[in-house]
Amino acid sequence: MAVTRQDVKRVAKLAKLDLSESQEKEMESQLSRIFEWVEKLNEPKTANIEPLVSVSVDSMPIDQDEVREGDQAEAIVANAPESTLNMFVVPKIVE
Amino acid sequence: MTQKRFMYQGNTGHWEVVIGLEVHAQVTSQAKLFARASTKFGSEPNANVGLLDAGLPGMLPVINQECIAQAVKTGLGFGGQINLYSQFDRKNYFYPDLPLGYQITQHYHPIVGEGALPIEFEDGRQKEVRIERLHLETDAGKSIHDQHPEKTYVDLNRAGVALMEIVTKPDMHSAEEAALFFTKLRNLVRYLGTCDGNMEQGSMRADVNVSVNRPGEDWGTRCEVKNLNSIRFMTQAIHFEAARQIEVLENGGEIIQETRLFDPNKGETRPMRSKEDAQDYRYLPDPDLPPLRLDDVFVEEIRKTLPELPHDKKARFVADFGLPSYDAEVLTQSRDIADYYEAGLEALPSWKGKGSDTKPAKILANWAISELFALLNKEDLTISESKVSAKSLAELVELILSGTISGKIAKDVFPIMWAEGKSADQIVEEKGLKQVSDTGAIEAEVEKIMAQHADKVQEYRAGKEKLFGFFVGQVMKAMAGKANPGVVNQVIQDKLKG
Repeated sequence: MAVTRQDVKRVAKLAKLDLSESQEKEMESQLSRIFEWVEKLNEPKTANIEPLVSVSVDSMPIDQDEVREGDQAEAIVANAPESTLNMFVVPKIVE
Repeated sequence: MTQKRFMYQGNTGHWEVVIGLEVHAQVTSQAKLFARASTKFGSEPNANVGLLDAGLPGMLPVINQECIAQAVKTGLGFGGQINLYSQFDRKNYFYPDLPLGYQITQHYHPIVGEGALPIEFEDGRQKEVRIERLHLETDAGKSIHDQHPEKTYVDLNRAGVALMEIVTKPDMHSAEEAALFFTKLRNLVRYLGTCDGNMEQGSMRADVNVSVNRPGEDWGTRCEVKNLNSIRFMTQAIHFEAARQIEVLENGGEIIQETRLFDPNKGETRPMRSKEDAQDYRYLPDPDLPPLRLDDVFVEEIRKTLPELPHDKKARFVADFGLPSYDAEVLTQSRDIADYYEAGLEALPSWKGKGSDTKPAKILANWAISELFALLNKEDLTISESKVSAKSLAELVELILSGTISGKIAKDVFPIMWAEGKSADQIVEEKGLKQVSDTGAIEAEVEKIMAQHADKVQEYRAGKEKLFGFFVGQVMKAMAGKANPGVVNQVIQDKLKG
């Protein structure tokens, strides 16, 4: 499947990426090659095979309704590039 | 369906409106859906954040049993299909209040399938609103935009809290129907204890899908209005959106499928993003979460814990207590109110139980709905904070029923009970408010009034029957409102005949 320049622009917008024209061109050819490779997945016939959700366990483990985490606001924001009053601080985004 | 539908009047004729709701209800639980941090509202910023909620690498989600049970309970409450097999998916999007980069939700296999809730109009008409599904998902954190001109602050306390998203079929045809459904659903989750229904704190909010069409024609293109956090805003948003769409269409325009935001200050909706810019969420089964498998035993255990549901309780109030549908609706809007009323009825000696005279039940209902609710509203109290207990209110009502005081006097007694905490008996005794039913005393008073107003007596006898009320008023006034009105009427009638 060939990826068009339009596709690249749209995905960049959704991902909030700001690409230059040369980067768009590069993405167009790289993404097209990736998609061609992924299309190999269409070759096996899977129409009658039930989808496999997990290879590990058959059903999910279930826990009790108990609070055992929290009260560590400083630790939570410790890695943030910027924080104030134990809140993360990011460039303003208003939708 | 042949019921007459609500129509909007446009400049070029009538329009029908079609409404579907997506309600987000926060699950009542101690811990979050997939992390064991607290769900407590109003904590210090980031105090209730687990490592998973913060999107730290290597953390695995483990589901909270209580959240599953609450979702199943809610599903049983609206007669929904409980799916013993369900699954969780990732809904991918970028936003600072979503550190994982995806919401965990149930896109393909929800925990609850189709059900329905009946709604009832003020005139007693009923209709059913079908529910398509209920699924479990995680809430996002909170972005605070007003603390800094160029920055957004992020608090993740809410991130990962369990939500139930309840999606209806497009079965509603007016803002009134949507409001009735929402109220019904909120009453249900409060009865069940699965969500506190507190809209001010954001525990319950709705997205509304609205489209308009000409009667008999296909449905129009719909717009979605997001995140309405009060019933009033929901009603306003539907009215605005329907009127806006009709105006666009009548002017030859076209409705574009888009997501809109409601501005409560202006009472209008404005576009948020169009379908072209619509997010591609790239839903995929969450590889960290194997399927959720429930068994019948689990579901049946939950079914046993279901309380009497609001709809059943209301039907019982109508059938057993002879209440009008409206009274029953108001008295069953919460379990606490219904319990208060039933406790009052229990304590009311004149009430002889199901199948007997229903007048005592109705008088008690009137008192609860008018006088009691008025004082509760005035002081912003809930029924459990009432300063007059159910038993005390029953005592007051009993005094009216036994003819000891008139309804009018009772209205003066009630605020004193409220303010001073005294019993009705005590106040009536202290203030000497007992009703006079003694015919002799009343006759004496009537004769006195007639003597004072001999001219009016003549006018009355000459045919001016309107004056009857004048005599009643004079007698009641002379007896400080304590005369039994029935006896007064009878005596005046007899005396005036001459």
